[in-house]
Parts: sequence; structure tokens; C-alpha cells
Amino acid sequence: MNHVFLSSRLKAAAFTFCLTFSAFGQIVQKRPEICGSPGGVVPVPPAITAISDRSQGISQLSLKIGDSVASLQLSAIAIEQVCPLPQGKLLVVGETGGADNVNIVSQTTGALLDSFYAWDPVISPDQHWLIMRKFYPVHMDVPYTEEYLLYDLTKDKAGNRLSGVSLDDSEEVGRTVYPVGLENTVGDNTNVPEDKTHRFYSDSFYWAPDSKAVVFADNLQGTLSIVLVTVNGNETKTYVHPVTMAEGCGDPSKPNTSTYDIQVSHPEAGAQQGTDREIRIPIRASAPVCKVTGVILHSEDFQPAKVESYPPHQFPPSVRAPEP
Amino acid sequence: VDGNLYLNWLSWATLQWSGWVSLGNAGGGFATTPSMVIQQNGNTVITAVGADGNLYLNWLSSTTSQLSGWENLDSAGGGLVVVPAGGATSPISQPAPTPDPPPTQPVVGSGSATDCNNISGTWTDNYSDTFSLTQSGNSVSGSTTNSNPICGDVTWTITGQVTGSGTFSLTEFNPMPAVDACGHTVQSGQTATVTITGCTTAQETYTGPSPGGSSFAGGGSGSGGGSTEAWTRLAPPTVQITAADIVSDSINITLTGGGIDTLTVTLNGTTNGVINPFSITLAQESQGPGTHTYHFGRTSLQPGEYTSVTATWNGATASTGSNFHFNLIGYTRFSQYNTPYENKCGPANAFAYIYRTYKYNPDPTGKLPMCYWESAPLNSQFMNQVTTNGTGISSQYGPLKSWGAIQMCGIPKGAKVDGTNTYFAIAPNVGVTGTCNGKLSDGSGSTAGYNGSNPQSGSIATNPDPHGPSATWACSDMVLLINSSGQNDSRGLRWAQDLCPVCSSGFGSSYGNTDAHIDTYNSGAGCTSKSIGNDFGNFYAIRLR
Repeated sequence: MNHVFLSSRLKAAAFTFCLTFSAFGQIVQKRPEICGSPGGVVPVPPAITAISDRSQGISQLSLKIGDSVASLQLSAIAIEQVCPLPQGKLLVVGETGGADNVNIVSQTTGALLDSFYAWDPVISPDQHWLIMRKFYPVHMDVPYTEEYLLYDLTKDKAGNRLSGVSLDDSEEVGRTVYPVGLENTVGDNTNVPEDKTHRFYSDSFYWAPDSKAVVFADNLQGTLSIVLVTVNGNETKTYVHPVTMAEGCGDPSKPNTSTYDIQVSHPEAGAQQGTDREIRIPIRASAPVCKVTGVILHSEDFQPAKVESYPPHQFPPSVRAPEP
Repeated sequence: VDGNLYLNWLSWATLQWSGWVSLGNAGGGFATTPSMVIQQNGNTVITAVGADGNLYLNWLSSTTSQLSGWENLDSAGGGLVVVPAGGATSPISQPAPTPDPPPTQPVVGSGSATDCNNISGTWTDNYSDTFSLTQSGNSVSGSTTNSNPICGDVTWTITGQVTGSGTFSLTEFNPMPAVDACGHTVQSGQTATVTITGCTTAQETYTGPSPGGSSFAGGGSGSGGGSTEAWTRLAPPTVQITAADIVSDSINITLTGGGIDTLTVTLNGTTNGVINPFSITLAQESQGPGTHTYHFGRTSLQPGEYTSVTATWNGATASTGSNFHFNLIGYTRFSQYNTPYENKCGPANAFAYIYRTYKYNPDPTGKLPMCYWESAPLNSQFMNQVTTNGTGISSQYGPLKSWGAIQMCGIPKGAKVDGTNTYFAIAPNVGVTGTCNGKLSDGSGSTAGYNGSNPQSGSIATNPDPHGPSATWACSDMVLLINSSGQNDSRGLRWAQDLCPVCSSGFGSSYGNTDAHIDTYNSGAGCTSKSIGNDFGNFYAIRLR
């Protein structure tokens, strides 16, 4: 998908190249929430530029390393955000017109350490984790479901793929934290039963300051739930709190949330206090009969997420056309 | 050429060629190229699938040089599948999933109301006296004219009060002239009670204080207190909303039967996020019978669901029916997207795996198997675009969909394990479709290969997905675009037909202080799905459902 070029020669040419980049290669940093700084400012790490050819869907990222310039060609019509990571790494997120093109790049060698597609990646405050939605195409003929994935930024490619998944796989990356029961196998989020189609209903993922919990909203066939994923070491647990109409609409007389779209914006997961964690959730209902409301949830308001599963796809045998 | 199989063999015994011998055909014609094997014993076995789907066998004896003739071995598993050799053929025309419902047509609201117990209007009694009355709340005002061919007309001012439902007490005073043409001083202060008995009928009772010189008293001179008269009027006060049309930004109201009164026009609804319904006064002014036009003030409304227009005049309140409603999404950023075209990306430089047949695109002859694929060259950037976008137009196959977008066959052996170089060929007549399974259009009316003639209304992509559980968007929703000058976008209404996963963001202060984000389909060709660089524009978006 992406290509790496490392040039240690032709310094003059590289210098000229960088001058060209500096004219056209500003990275806008338009999505600071990816770096864990919603609404904040994340400066572009020094000596990094990019030039994009929107018409061809290609971006070239350049890193000045000592006297050399490393260039990476990324499948992105623009570079939207670069986040510095520990261990001399960078997270580079490109726009594709569809899902995000997520790249992990070595700032010391210019090597492309991993590259994959996902939706709405957000780094935890301690820069250990990346929560995201599994890739699916923008335009589909078959039902799809959201599948929420956790990527360990301290591990390499192999450490973020299930055994048996190719290291070149650009979609089955990370491990599933919700819906519980899915295992991030190839294509397990598309062509799924209609009653298993989860939808993302918050505008982003929201990490707790201690990076040990992340919250977001999910809608399963009209039932809105707040999803809480706790991270303890390498272990994750997933909990859900179905939002009632009293919570979501301010009107308990409304029969269920399937009638309305209720969006969650900026839920705030507080710090762990003993076994409890307070989560404040502003809720905005698109339904006209609802009023702006919000709820404060505690650990006891959540239940462990139920295991969901459906039979693996059974395809007719593939038949190859004879060579002409 | 004649469809028969011919055989010419060399005899080991004589080293002579037999010459061409016709074996005829089998099963009504060959559906496959016959195949031939020579067994260890030297017999030659020829097999072929006939047009009837059965397997046929013919064999040549090595000892007798005799042909057995075609034997029908029948078929298995419901029929034999024929896999032809050779290069690509045109993708097969087959139905795609059934499109979701057609678009909602904009509703023009209407309603009418009459208040028969309102005394407003022009009444006439048995003596041709006329009473022009206007009721405002519990007060009545107006005038009455007594026609007298001998002593001339006299006109009084009338005031009065509502005393009950449809009952009134009226007083006439200030006669003009004060002395009639016969020299009589005209009386003032005469009173009467009026009871409305029907929309056009009432009974008036003269209550004094003295007879003569009064319209209330009948024929001008009257017969004293207690006399009664029948009143009639042509029509009761009626207010009619003849057309409340958000698309044309007009509310047409026709007033009949009453006098001049305050006409109040209100728009009723509920703002998003606010539980209490509210009303916006669109007009409040004195109006008499006639037709009057008002406007919605579309660019100054708050986002929300609007459910009715009401008009109140002379005690009657008309309201649009329950089918009238619209939802102001808000000031909305309309970005643009298009379908990637391979010929805009460059020449083929990689190999892809193309499924020719699958559930939505089976072979109509039934001969090609499901999940029949072939390897074909494609441009690598185009492949990336089709993978992420889901759809693209290849130079060789026409419309392709990514493996993830259809996923009705497994990943072919040898293809990338994540399916990123496997695609499904779409029948050209199906064209480019969105999540609602309808053919996408940009509404321009211009012919574009796989978008038909781009008919109205142009397609838009929304978030949440219109094809799903969302209450905000449905596949039948239409959207009216209004510019900041209050004018409808000249390119017409738009139709929710597709999902825009990124439209939950991409609006706000960075995009002209917009409240929402909708992606507009453009049939222009480019390598990427974002080749149409500019936004469609920022508009006030009104959802019509």
C-alpha cells in the first residue's frame, strides 16, 4: 500500500526537495483529537513535511534524518495529522476520501513500521493505545457493523495482529474490544446480519486521563448505549449502559430510543476512585420532543457487554477462469 | 462451423489416417469444447457437456476403430457448470438489490376554519337594514344602516359585547344624520340582543329603550321592545390556508366572510434539543377579506422540526394538516464526492482479482458458477481508491465494487488476504449505487456513463446512514437547499441516498460556522473520490419527509 524511499545521497537535491516541500508541504494538523488533544494544538514535529497530490490520492511524507531525507509515499490525498509517539515514532494519519490511512513511522530511520485503514483513531493520553473503528468502505451493498479495535502502540506489526493474520493485512489490525465476541477476522464487520449492525454514535472516542478507560456511544438497532472499555495492563473489559429515554431525552414517557437519534458529545471519563469511575455524558437528541440533557454514570451503572456472535460467512467455492 | 465434432485418427496398425469422421453433436449442441483422453489400453474417450447440461461420452476402440456413439451420462448436482476459456466478456446484466423507497414529494399544507359563533360579517334583516360587524375578542364594533326611501338613509355606530356563546348585546348610537330628511330627530342608544342560530342565521331581539328610529326595531320605526327579527349573512368568517409551501417559501391565506380583523400567522414546532413546543409569529396585522401571502423566514429559523402553520382571523383558526412538516437541519456544509475512475489514475500497473459472477450478478445462462473470478490488470492507485470508497469505474470492466463492499464470495487464492485487491464487477446497467441501492445522480441532467442521465433529484450522503435505524435520515428523505439570500439552490432538491461516514464532523467554525455536514454526489470523473475539489456550498438545509 505504501512505499518507503530512503536517500542518504544527493544532499543538494534533497535540500531543493525540502525547499519545494516547505512551499507546499505544510501539514495542517486539522485533527488534534487523534493525538489526544481535542481542540488543542499539536505542532508538527520538526523536519517533517508532506506534499500531496489530491488528484492521484498520493501523499509524500519527508523526514529529515541527519543529512538525509527519507520519503514515504502514502495512499492519502492529504496528510491530516501527525502525532509524536514515544520510542521515536510518529503516527501519521492521511485522508483517503473514506477511512483514515493510519501509518506508524520511525522518526529515526524513516521506516514505515505499520500501515492500515481505520476510522477515527484516537491515542490514549499515555500514548500507549490507539482506539479506532475497523475499516469498511464508504459505499456498501451489504450490511456492516462497527467493530471497535484497540491497537498497542508499544508493539510492532506482529504484536497487533492475531496469529494467522498476515503482516500485510491493512484492515484486521488490533484487537476487538466491542462488540464482544468478534475477533477481528477478515471481513467480520461486513455482510453481517441486520440485527447485529452497530453504529458509532459519539463524535469521537474519549479517554480517561489515566488512559485506563475509554468511553464512546454505540447504537445497536435503535438502542443507544454508552460503552466503557477498561484497560488494565494488557487486559481489557467492556461494559455497556443502555441509555434510557429519561436519560437521553429528558422524557421518560417516550417508549424507546429507536424513535430518535441521540448523539453523545464529549463524554468525560473521570479518574478511577477505588472501584468507581464517574462518567459525565452530555447528550443531545435530534428528536424535537427531547431537550438537551446529560447523565452522570458510575461503575455500577454499567453491565458487562454481552457476547455477540454470528456464523462465519459461508461462501460458494471460488472458481478461477481458465487462462485464455 | 456446423457445430459437429469431427475426428481424424492415425492407426498404429496401418499408419494411415482415417480421414475426418463426423461424430455429430450431443445434447442439442456442445456447451463446452469436447475433451479427449487416450486410455492405457489405447481407447480414445471423448467427453463434452451438451446444451442440455448433461455430460456425453463417445469412445473410439483401439482394436476395432469403431466409435461408440454419444452416450448420455446425465448430470449431477442439478446440472453441470460450464467454465469457458478465453478472455473477458462483458459483465452480465442482472438486478442489484432492490432500491429503497422513492423520494418523498414535498407536502403543501392546507387547512380551513370557520367560526360560526363569531358575529363578524355583514348581516341583513327582513327590512334590508344592514349590519357590518366585527368581533374582536369579546368586543363587537361596526355600523348599521337603515334604508328609508322617504326619509333617507341613516347610519349608526354599533358597539357591543359577547354575553355567551353566540350571543351578543349591541347598542347603536351616533346616528348620521342626526335629523333625517323628514325632519325627525333620529334616536340614539337603542339596544338589542343577537343570538346566532347558524353559520348564516341569527335572531335579533330589540330591547329598547324606545321605539322608532332604529335598525334594531325593524323597518326603521320598530314596534317597541321585545320585537324580533331574523338576520342572515352571506358567509361566516372563514380563514383558509390555501397553500403552505416551504419549497416556494409561501403561505397563501384567503379570508372570507368577516370584517377587518387582526390576522395572525404562526409557525409551530419544536427546536432540536428543546422539549417544549413553540410558535413563531410570522405575521400579525389587520386584514380584511381577500388573499394574502406571507413567508416562512427560512434563513432565520432555528434548527428543529416544524409541524404546522396556523392562521387566526375573526375568531377562526386554521391549521395545516398533520402531513405538513419539515425539519430545518441547519446551516449545512455540502461537500462533494465522486466515483473514482481508473482512466484518471493512470495505466494498469498491478493485478487484481475480479469476480465476474456472484449473488447479485449471476450468469443468466446458469452456466458460469457463482464466485467465478479472473485476474486482470488494474491501476494500483485506482485499486486503493476502490478499496476505501467501495466503488470505482475500471477501464476494462466498468463499475467495480470492493470485496468489502459486497463480500459475497471468499478471497481468491493468491489474492491479498485482506481483500484489498479483490473486486466485484457490477453490471453496467446497475451503475454506481449508494447504500440505498439506487443509482447515484448529481441532478445535473447531463449524461454520465454509469449515472444514467443524472436526473433530479441529485444524491446526497448523510450521517447517520439513511439505510439503517436512523431517525434523522431515511432513504426517502429529500433536502431543500437555501442560500444565505433566502433563495432556493437553482440545482434543485437533493435526495438522501448514501452514507457519509465522515459527516459527523467536518463542519463548524472552520467551515463557515455550519451546523451540519452533508456530502453531495458529483458524477465528474477523477482518480480519487475527492477529485471535485470545491464544496457544493453552504446552505440552509431543510429535510422534507
